[in-house]
Amino acid sequence: MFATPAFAAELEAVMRPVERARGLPNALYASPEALALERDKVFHSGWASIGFGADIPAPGDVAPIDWLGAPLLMARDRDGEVRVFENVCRHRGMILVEERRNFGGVIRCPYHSWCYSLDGKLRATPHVGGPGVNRHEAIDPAATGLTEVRSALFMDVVFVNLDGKAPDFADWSAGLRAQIGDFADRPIFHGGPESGFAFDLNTNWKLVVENNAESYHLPWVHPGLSAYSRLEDHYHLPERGGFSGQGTSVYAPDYGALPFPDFPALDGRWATAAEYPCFFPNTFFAVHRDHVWAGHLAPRAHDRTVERIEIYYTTEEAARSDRFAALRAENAKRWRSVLAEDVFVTEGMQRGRGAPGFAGGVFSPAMDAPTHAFHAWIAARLAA
Amino acid sequence: MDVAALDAELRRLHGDWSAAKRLSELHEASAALATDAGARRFRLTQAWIFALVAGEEPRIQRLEAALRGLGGL
Repeated sequence: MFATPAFAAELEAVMRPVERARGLPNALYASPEALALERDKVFHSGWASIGFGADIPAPGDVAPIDWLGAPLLMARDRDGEVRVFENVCRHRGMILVEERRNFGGVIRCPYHSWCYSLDGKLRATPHVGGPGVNRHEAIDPAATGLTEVRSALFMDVVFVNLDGKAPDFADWSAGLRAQIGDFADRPIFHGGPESGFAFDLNTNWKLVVENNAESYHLPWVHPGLSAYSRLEDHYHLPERGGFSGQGTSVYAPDYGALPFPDFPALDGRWATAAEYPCFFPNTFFAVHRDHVWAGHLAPRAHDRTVERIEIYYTTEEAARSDRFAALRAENAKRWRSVLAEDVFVTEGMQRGRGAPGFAGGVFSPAMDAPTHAFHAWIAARLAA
Repeated sequence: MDVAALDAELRRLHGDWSAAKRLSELHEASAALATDAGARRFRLTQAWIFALVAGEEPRIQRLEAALRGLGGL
């Protein structure tokens, strides 16, 4: 299906200038084979998000992740560094960790009890040389640690490059850094369990990205938001490569008498601006002077996606203290409510991909540039 | 602790990795009762793994020294 001249022509049509471009073809939304193709050519060969540092807040915390068939393990080592390993024992390939938990000591394989320290080193191979003999010349501990996966942490989102061949993450994310660099390297503080939420969506992951990238739908889908942030207050983020999105010039939340504290020494434009870049392929960010959030999309099938949102604040007090607890809950409730309003469109577009006569659709050059930028990026990855 | 009590507690805690610290103590105690070096080395190995899981650093170091002395490491 995807190795045909017809498919190549469809991708070429996507990569045309927005005025003449078509959207990605239905087959990329409506077939299991599409996700397999994207796994190889988009997710595993580039950098993609798999979770959040907040999932493993304490040293010794680990979280297993099935990343499109690849069993991974996020771990926070004793020094607080986040690492990602393949979640398999180097001995017989047994899955090491089945659920999120903390290890006070080593990570032990449940099969033959080979043990690994949190930095991945092979720590023990019990009885490997016979009963009570715990070494064997055939097993070199220095060469038999957990297989570490290239990873990077950006605004607490954990990214991996599974095939190890993508450019350095700093280069991969250079465009995004140029856009939201004011926020990128600041300390941020996760608001705790009440500051995270998720949607299990009956839709293809790309449709969630598309919807988050553009502001065109705001007056129709988010009437409450549009009451104070009108369509004409929004702008497309400039194309710098690797992301697209939108911003607003009238960010002014009403939090009452005790607002969240702002990040210190921000550029003046952030007094009223907020931006929402979608970092290709499966991550999005929201930056505001008083909080940020990050979104991660986990494709479960070609027509099912889990969307996770985690909210962060500017100080530990804003993120953790009782003083701000009610405000944090209110903020999470507001964002959950806004994003819940998108569910019917992302799921509706998925069902729409079953229409044989729909050939990817067209784009408004004025309003759909961020969506087209994402489509063109995907098409280029698939065509490479 | 006599052999019967040791055996009973080991059986009771079998598979309970949240009790790794206690299991390490029990295996180390059982090693002291072993009559030959091979059995002692085997039981110390069990004690060592449970100590590693529990993150009991002083015990780990002591057990590793004992295992080295018996040719187990």
